[in-house]
Amino acid sequence: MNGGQYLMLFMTALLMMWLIKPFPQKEFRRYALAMLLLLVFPLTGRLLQSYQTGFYGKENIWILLPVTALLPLGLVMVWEILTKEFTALCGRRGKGVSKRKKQFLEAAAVLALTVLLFLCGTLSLGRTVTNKADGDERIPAREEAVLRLLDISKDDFVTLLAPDDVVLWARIYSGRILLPIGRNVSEPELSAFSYEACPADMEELREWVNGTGTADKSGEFLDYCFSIGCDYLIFAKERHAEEELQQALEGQAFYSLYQETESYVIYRLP
Amino acid sequence: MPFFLTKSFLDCTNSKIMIELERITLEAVRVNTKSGNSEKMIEGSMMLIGLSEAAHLYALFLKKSFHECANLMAVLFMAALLFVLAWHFFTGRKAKRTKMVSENGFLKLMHGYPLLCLLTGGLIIFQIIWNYYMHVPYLKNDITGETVQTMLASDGIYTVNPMTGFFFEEGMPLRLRILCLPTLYAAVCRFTGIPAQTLVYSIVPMLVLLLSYLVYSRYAAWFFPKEEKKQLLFMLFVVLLYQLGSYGTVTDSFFLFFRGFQGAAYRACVILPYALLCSLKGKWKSVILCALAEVCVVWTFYGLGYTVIVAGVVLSLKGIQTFLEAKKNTGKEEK
Repeated sequence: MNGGQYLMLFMTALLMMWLIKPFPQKEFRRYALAMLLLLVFPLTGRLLQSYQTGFYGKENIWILLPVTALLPLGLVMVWEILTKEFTALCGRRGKGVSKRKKQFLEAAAVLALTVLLFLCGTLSLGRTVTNKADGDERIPAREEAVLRLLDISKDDFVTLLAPDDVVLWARIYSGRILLPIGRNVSEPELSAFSYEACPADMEELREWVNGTGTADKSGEFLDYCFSIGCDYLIFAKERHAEEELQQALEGQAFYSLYQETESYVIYRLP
Repeated sequence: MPFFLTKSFLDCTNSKIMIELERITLEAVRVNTKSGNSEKMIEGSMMLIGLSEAAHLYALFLKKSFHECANLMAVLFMAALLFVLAWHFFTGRKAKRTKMVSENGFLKLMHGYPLLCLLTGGLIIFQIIWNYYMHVPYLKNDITGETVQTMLASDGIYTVNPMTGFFFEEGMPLRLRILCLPTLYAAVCRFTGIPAQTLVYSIVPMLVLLLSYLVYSRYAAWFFPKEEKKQLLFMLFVVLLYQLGSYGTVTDSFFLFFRGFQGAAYRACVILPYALLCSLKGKWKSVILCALAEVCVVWTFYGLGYTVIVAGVVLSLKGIQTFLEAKKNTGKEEK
């Protein structure tokens, strides 16, 4: 996502507020300017960033700027000016404008400012980085369908080895699903949430279940899954169709085909 | 001797500053009886978080189970509710004697400007449905949903790794463990039976969005007192700004629509704007409440969050203003 120009609009609005006299809320205007200067100057910006633990990026300190309060205030002030100008233009011949015409001019000013906001914004309705929800519980239908097939009782836990797309939603779907390969393996930035180190062999296991690895070790990995007590194995249909995996699954006695959906195949300990 | 070192100037400046400080202090200790319903709701949400934090810390440090923590939370909430009702009952009698002036009541605004009200309200409803019910949640760098499910399934508070479900060996950083929002969500799920996904990804962001609009409605009333049309226009522009402002990962709009369940969203869109408004109005008691609420929901610098900066900058500006006015007055007197 990019293309936002609201910061420029903010600065323009702030400048306008310093030019318009009398301005009622001077303290607010002073605060906005002072905070903008504190954020823009490298030294103060750095100090603010260090203050906020230094862990977050510099962009995070920009939430201190009251953009959402100041911009609409500026827009309402511009709306007032525009309405006056429009009214003056329409009532040029010494006659005042009718009430209906005045309402129309006010609406036109709102529309003009909305277009300005629209052009400076994202030009989209938001939510461009997430898909439409098609499942019942705000989980994608593909993943929800496969997770629903797992036999999870209220008092027991099940251990699951699955591709990244399923892992992403598995523990949101149920806290009773245990994952030898959690989201922290596919998203290393999540390691900041715990001190737990991820074993090196887990990355290899993840590559195997996703079908992104090169080594032909399916037999070994199936033995390993059994040794760590994995109750369920889920493979994407494309991965399951691979010959090397098919042969390994046929050659082992631990897991049997349990269920399948449109996108995934589930194996389970008998 | 420079004029700013003259005795008369220093005396004048000191007395002005002292008067301002005294005013601020008096404001801080004064019981705020003028809070409207919006303020009560905003500050009520912060108090709710404070009570949750108390129960959460009790369970965390005394190694209590999650259900004990949730029960304590329920007791605290009930006690708070009873206290508020009793307070309302006793103070309500006094209030009846004086004529209450309703400020910007919804019905009054609806009667005066139905189109603007419908447009703004319609857009807010659209935002709620579109963002919180029609799209899958945005999960990048977040494990709130997993943490809530983990607490419900394991009956422990941060004893189990939310990403795997196995018991922690090394544990979790204390800076994250002291934050209470996941525990609060899990407790609500436990008592209401609402699925964790629905609560975390639909209901909570919706409430935060509405609280945020409440905060900005206070701005509208402050900027344009007794000008209903401008207040409504201000709100319409806030709604549009949110709708079209998700262009960066740290914009208010992005926080609300993509991470509304996180403490960072509550801070950016409720706590900080409200703290700024209260600082500007000189309601320091509310500012302290904001600072405490911030500590409960996001990782701060040993308890010093952004609220402290906001209040510090406003105080500094007020101090400078007082100093400059004193200087101006001294200059006039010397002339």
